[in-house]
Amino acid sequence: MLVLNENWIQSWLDQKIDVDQSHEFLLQQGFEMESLDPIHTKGIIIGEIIAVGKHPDADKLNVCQVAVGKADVLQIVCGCSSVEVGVKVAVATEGIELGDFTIAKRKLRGVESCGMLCSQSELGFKTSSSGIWHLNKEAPVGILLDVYLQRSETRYGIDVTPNRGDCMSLRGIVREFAIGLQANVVPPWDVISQDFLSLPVRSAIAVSDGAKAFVDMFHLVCLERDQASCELMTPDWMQVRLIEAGFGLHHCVVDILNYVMLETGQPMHAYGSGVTDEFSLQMGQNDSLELLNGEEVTLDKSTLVISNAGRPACIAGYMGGQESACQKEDITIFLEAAAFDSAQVAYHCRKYVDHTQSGSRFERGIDFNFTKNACQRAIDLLIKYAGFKPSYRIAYDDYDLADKTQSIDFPLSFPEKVLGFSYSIESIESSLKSSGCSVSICEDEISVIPPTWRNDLKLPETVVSELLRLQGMPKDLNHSLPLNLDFHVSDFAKTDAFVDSVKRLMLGCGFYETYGYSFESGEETLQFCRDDSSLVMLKNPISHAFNAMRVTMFPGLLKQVKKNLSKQESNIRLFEIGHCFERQDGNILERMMLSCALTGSDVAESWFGSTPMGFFHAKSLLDYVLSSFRIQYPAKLVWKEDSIDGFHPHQGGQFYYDGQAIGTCGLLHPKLAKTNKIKEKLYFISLDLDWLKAHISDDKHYQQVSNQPMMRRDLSLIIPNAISYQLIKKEIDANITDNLKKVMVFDIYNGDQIPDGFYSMSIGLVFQDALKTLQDDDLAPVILNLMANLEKKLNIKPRGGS
Amino acid sequence: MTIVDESVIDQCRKEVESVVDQHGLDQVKSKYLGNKSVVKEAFKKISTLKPEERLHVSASVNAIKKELGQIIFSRKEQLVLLQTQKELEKDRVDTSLSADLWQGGTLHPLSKTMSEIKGLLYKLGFDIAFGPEAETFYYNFTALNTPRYHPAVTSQDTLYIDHPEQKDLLLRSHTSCVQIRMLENHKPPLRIFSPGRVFRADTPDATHSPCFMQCEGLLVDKNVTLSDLVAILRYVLEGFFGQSLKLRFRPSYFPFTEPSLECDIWFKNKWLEVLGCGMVHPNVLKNVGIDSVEYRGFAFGLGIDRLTMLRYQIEDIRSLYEGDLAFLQQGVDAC
Repeated sequence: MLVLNENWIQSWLDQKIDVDQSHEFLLQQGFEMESLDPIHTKGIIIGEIIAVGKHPDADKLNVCQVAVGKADVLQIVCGCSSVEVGVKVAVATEGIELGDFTIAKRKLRGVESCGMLCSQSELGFKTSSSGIWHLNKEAPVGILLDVYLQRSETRYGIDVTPNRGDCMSLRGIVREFAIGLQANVVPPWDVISQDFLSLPVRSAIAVSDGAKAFVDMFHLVCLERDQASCELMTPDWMQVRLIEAGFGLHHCVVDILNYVMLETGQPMHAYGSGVTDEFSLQMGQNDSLELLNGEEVTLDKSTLVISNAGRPACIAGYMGGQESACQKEDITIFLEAAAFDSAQVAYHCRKYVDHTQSGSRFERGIDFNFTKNACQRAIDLLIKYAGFKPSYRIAYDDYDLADKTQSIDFPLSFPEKVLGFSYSIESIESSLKSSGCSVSICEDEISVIPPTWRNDLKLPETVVSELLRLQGMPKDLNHSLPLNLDFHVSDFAKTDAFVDSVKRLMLGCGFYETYGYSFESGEETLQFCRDDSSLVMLKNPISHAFNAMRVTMFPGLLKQVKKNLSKQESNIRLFEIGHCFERQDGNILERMMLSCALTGSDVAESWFGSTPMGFFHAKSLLDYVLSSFRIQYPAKLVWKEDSIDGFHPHQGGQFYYDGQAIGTCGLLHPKLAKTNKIKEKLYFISLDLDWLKAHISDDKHYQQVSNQPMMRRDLSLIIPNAISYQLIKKEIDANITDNLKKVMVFDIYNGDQIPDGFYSMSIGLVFQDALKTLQDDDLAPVILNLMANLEKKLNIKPRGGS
Repeated sequence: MTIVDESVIDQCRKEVESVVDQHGLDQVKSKYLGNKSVVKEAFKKISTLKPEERLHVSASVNAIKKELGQIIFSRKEQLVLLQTQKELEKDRVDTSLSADLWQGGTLHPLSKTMSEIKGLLYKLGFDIAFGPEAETFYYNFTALNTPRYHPAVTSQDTLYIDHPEQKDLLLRSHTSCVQIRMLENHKPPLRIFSPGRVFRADTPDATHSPCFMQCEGLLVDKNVTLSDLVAILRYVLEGFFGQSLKLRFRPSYFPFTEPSLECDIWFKNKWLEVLGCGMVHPNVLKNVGIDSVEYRGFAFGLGIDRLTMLRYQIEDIRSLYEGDLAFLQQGVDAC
């Protein structure tokens, strides 16, 4: 965002700015406005401290007599230690509003105070400042601060898109105002010094062959001053313009160069007394340089370096070195004004990371044709405000600028082809001219040469964008899209429909859909996945709490459950469908997962009663989803009571398919529950939806149903403890292949009458034939055979039998 | 002559009325109509009468028998009714009570928004497409006309993956990557949309979330214009908000579209930004080997979170990612 004061913009234009109107046209020209914190300079006047006395009752307070014009002197009690006679200050007198409080005459520990001496932060220029604002000595007493600072109340916070490097300066923004207002740009400059190009040339700059292509313009001027001039202060109006634009203040030379950059868009650099006139440009040679930000960097072969006396002094367009930097007390400086290739500086900006004002302008592209003028402007300001005199220059002029001013040619019908509506030839010509292009039209062809500052205008399409920006679109548009009648259902569409149907199942079971972040902290993730080699970590996480991609959704769901429990919500059923990430064989495996968390009771608490949810509520949910997609338990799908990270060792397990775990179900490990302060039993399930989608059958046909009666046979079994139901079910499936409609376990018993090491289970088998009524003769041999095999293979005996 | 006194009827009626259950009624019935009853005795006597008297007498005895039967039968009906009422009384519950026994879940508001947008785009002949969330630099930037050192590639925006073997992995910062993945594998004409998660290095606050949802739209065909794009967006936005809308298009900049526009809607007396869009940049088509003279395209990116917040008047984006049941349960409308 670029912040500019209206007064400054107005001073470059020959027509009056209207705030609302300008917001409107800037928006239509592609510039969004940001709202800014207010600045409270209304009514603030300049005063001079003419006497300072100690407060009789407070060590830290001073009683100041402040002259505020005419013969008026105000007594102001001030807590700042930097008050002294002769200091020029910003005075808020009685009745002035500073944000949400109004200055009033009041007594501070018995001494009357008739106003306030303001700091820059109290006025809203900065977020913090140490003590009251000391204005420059020449500030005239009694006049309004804003008049002295050449500013108005209105400021513009303008968002500049990355293609519009030309608008990262006052000069660029003024051009946009001129287009919007149909005004002329009139820079309020007086050129006061001689053309610097007429200065004597002391030496030449050596530019290596590898570096040449990146240098579009390069001027170096040596300036000198006397010792006394080093004490000169940056003018207050210039300081304020820099502060409002978000620049930090340094000493006068750096401030002036920043100011010229803000004003013209041309970044500048100054080398101090520590350098000689031996300058050269070449690519880095893996030598090191301590930058102005204190960082020591290695200059690689792709970095364009400006060296002095054979030693690196500056990364072109990005940042200078500490050692060669210009200091406040320097009496000789070298001023550099250059134009570097934008992609080259962009490389510096990414490679050396820290954002710099210079780098962000160069990488967006600057106006190489204006570099000389900006240099002249900087010299003028250095002469006027820093006491310098230009003495000689160091020259370079081997530029290749052929591709910088190429024309963009296209048929006049092209804009309509892109836009679907047309502009008149006259309006095309006039609007392109208003943005500085030269335009020539020959029969059906148009040829556009953009101004040197418009680096974004390169293709016919960009010229169309410019036309759209300047002329807008008509109210009524004709569209001409044909219908798309090619019917086809893509695999993606199937996935989408599949996910929707999973969601419907979950909603039917009373689950609420939730979304969580896709990342967690590595520690939280490892609670559910001990294998840290599978974690996908982030290089630049927003915080430690979000540094690992989720391997499962359990940590995220756990957090959400905790939040709900803390709000006394005891019945919780949440589900999420989303991607989980795992590192596998050097790649990232991204899987779509369904995960659910459940705790509490099957129904809401009421007089009616409810059942607490247990492991089998969770597992049956998994069964329900699988069976809803007609995934039964074929031999390939195996349930294993596994010890899973984060789960109770004896209430957890997974479904495996061909050795791959595809579904998980379990109770949160009591230890984890304790560390998370969860007293409730919390169950999780997860299911690999990519797997499920790949294994659902397309067979959706309804079978003819049988009208024959069902026959039921109940088995009561005594089973060794080591034998799980899964083995018994497998045996049942292996022995009974016909007519078995349903198998249900209706009782499990482990009591007095059962021998040690065994338990009892009652299983109901329901049979039905498609065509005939089954008889006992049909079933008895089947059951007998099953019992024999159960006994032989699994040591299972009938209960109450011999 | 009379052989049965008619007073037997009143006598029976009295006894029947005092009977309270079926058993009692059976006893009364046997007393008045059974083998030893006066009626039965009377019938026996009839055979001893003279033939000319028989007809008359038997008629009167029959009348009395019928009357007695009637009295007993209607009492029986009454008793059945009383019994049923008693049994029903036992089943009585306080029907003014309630119990929350059926609770369906709810779709998340983001899913609701997405399914509406989906429905509208399907209608326009767009097909859905998906791409990975962990992307490569190429698909997220380079192929979308954003060279590696472009100012739009700032590390503070994009989250990068720390991977020992692959240096160029990141979490996609927009769904536009799917444009490239689809164009690489499909010849135009092509109309697709791609909903999904995207990521930015933003610390969560009321208006920022490090994960959020976008829906990309892409159409590549011959003779496509910006006017077509505007028409499609109007259809989708008006369809979503269920009302005609005032739209405003502002010039903007995205490296992968030219011209690029931002679309605002006039909603609740304010202009609100809802999407970015534009004509596919010729370099993007070139990068996937499509002739940018023959074909043109447009693309748009809808902010699903933003649309959801507008539509359901949700003020804090964080509430979309917290799983608070009190929040989610408000989505009970059946859609």
